[in-house]
Amino acid sequence: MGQISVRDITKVWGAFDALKHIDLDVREGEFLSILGPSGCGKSTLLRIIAGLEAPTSGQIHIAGRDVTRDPVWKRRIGLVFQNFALWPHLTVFRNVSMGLELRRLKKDEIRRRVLEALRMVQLEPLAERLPSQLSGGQQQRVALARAIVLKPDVLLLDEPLSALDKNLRQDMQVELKTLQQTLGLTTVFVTHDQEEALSLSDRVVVMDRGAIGQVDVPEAIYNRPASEYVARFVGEAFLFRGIVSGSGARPMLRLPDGTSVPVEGERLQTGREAVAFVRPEWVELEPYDVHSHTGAPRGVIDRLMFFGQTSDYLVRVADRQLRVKRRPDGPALSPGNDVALICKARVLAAQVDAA
Amino acid sequence: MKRPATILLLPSVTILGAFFVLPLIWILILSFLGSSPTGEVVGEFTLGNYARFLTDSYYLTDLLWRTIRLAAVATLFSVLVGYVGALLIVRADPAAQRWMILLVMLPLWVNLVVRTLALMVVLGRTGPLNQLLVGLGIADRPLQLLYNETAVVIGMIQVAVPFVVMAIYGVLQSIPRQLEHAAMTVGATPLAAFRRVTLPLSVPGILAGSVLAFGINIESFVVPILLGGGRVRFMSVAAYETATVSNNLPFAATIGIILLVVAMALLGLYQWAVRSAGRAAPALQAG
Repeated sequence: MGQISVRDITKVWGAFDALKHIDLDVREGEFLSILGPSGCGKSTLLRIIAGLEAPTSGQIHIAGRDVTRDPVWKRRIGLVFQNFALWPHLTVFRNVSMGLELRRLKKDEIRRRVLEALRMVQLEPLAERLPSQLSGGQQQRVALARAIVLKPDVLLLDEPLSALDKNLRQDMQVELKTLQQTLGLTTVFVTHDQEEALSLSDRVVVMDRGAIGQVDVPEAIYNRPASEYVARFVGEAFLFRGIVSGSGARPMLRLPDGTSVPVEGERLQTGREAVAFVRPEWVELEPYDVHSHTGAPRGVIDRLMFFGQTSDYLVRVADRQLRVKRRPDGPALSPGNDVALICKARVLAAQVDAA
Repeated sequence: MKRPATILLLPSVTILGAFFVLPLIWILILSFLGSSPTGEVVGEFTLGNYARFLTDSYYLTDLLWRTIRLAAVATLFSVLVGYVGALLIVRADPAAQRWMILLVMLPLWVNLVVRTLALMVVLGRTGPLNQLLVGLGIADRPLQLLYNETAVVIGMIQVAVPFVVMAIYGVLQSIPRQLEHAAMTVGATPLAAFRRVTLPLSVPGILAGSVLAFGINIESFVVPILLGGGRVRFMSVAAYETATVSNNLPFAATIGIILLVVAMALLGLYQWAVRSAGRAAPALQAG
């Protein structure tokens, strides 16, 4: 049993199943992200763990204790809200100290711990300011300090960075991760930003309409997604549907248009239908050549998208569009060019299991 | 550029000027004039009216102080009742909120005299309230609830509460519920969360509500004249009786002006005190 265990949690609102039999264990000291589009139930799950929402059925254990019936104020959690929810009438110091005051600690102990927490988020000099006098990033840090000052059993973060602009968000990601590791805090981080989830987490939970789509380390979520949904939601995926063919050493996926793509994957069975996917950076483009590229999928360059550091080709393949990362050493291609797609696609794990 | 705005202001300025400011100025002038025994206004300047009021302990304690005291007590209860009401409305679900607000506003559609007469029925010796008290054994015989200070205070509360509810409701509605939730995540019980977060944040509403209630209560006329039954001395009633029964217009004007000045001074003082207390609070907590 982990630091947090979610056991068969269900939440029903009228006819709508917000959460369907969720089981999840968060290990001690782990940084776990819950990733999903809006409406997938990720925030509801977090609020149930926090105790701000009651589950329709199921149990929540935190630090080995059944807290399902405990109200929020008895759960020993730290929660950071999306819009920070700082108390506007209290100074930064008092925002952080309220939790300690409520525990009736001695005044100098409160002072010591508040200043320590503020030092950790580099806000000590601003202790006497009011929240309205702080920037968005500083308010975020106050919210973080308010949560960690109580040394909670778990830290829960509800899209805490989504209100910040891009550069600040990246800085805060690094700070957040560093802080979490320093304190060894078990952390549950809810986000709809897949890059954020992949870069910060020890493990990622991908949620899909109230159910868990996949739980795994970020590398596995990205490279070995369990389902089409996960493949599409985490990063960009171009899907091939076809029938497995070829010998065991060099399996291929024969596509309906007669071309085939080399594929990889576990337990591939010849003759079975399968879905495989490629990421934009897995594909190599070559000017189409009838002799060397016979049987390979082909497309037409639609346009080149320039992003600064990198650029992408948008390639039209039949009636679909595929994004391909441009390689610095690759051939120079312009819109209208016929290209062959050189790639190894990966068969989705769920498809293999289903077979 | 400012011309169109000025023109648009003209109707309201005209109406206020003609029917409010000018009569007020006339009352002010009147209060410095004398009166003959037959009731005619004597056209010469005198401070006699003010001297008469301010040197007589009857006027100062029995009239002015009682008016202030009753208005203040009624304001206190109005704010208490109004705050609870506003809080209940804010915490109700949105569909219910509309109906609850409607219910609060409903009494304002009924004429004040009618409402006060209805209250006289409720508070009367054989009224429902006394029947209830006797029936439950709280009182062994019907209590005298009418024609005393209690009746006047109850009447004033009844008048002021809708205004207080609306003033406080507006402020409470603007406080995100999440701020209380945040307090609960750091260990506050709902009561502690309310006391430490919602209550201090709603002080502007309490301030606005109490200023409104006191302003309405101290100028109250129908309530003390009906529920006081002539036994509870009140400034507005005294001014009215002085003008009509004693036929002494200048002295009635004096009572009116003193009431106005005292009310404005008290409200100003109150607001200043609350504001400076609010400013001092963060500084005190810093230590």
